[in-house]
Amino acid sequence: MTRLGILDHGHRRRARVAMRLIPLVAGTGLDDVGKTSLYRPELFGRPWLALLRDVMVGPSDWSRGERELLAAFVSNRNRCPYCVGIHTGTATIGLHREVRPELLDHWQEADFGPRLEAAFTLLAGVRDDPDHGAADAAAAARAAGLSDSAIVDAYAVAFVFDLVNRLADAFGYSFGDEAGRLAEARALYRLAYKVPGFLLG
Amino acid sequence: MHRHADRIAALQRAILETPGATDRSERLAAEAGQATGTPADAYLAKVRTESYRIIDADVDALRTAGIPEDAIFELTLAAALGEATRRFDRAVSMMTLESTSGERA
Repeated sequence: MTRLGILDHGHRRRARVAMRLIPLVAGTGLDDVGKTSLYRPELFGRPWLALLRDVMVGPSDWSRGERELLAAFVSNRNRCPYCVGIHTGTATIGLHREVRPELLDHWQEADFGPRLEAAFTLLAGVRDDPDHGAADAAAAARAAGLSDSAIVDAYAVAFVFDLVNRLADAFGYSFGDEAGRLAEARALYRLAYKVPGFLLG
Repeated sequence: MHRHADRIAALQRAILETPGATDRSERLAAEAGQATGTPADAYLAKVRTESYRIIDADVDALRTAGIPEDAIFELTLAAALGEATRRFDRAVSMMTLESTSGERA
């Protein structure tokens, strides 16, 4: 249950039917981001999911697993426990190594490699020192071998998570228990942010 | 221009201009971090700067003040969008500045 009844029960008929059927075929219910996306999709969900899918699984120098890790990193900087929980789960799947929240706090010692470390420096710089951090970090990132498009793609991951972290916090998103967290992460990674178009019409 | 610009612009248009429970001017104010003229301003400031501190009572207080849930939804989207956009634009513009100065060097 979120903090807004409309996001749990206010959907149009076809979305309500889909929300009842999804647990039968997906093994887990529609997550709270999905519920929000299907509510008044012309206001939010339709353009949001188009952007989110492109940023997270579209063409990029970053692999899917790396983008999931960047998402977890941004969410951790924003102190969003829901998104940290889900995206450490998806990053674990995508990178084939366990990604725990503690690693995001101590990423300098986590051995994620020079490209991801450059991206973390970049994303942290924008937050900690907005007047100087971004330019310095962008120069360092280029020196570490990141292309300009890779830098912009990392910023785009930060954009979508700077937005959705706030929604998760404000609307009170929850995955329930640890089994719920893992089930939502597995479903999200498998479905790759795809939602049938007729639910967004 | 970067490859995400069109999709980000489409999201901004949808959140700020789709008819709903709040006026476009209220959503634009929420997006810009300005006073909306609604009792939601303290809550919206929290959405922008410390959303992790939002608790049930914050949202309950908005309902008690007579703000419909659809209006809460729209204003929250606008405030979150505004903060994400400011961070993104700042980062990308710094990068462009850095890149331009690099070309001149």
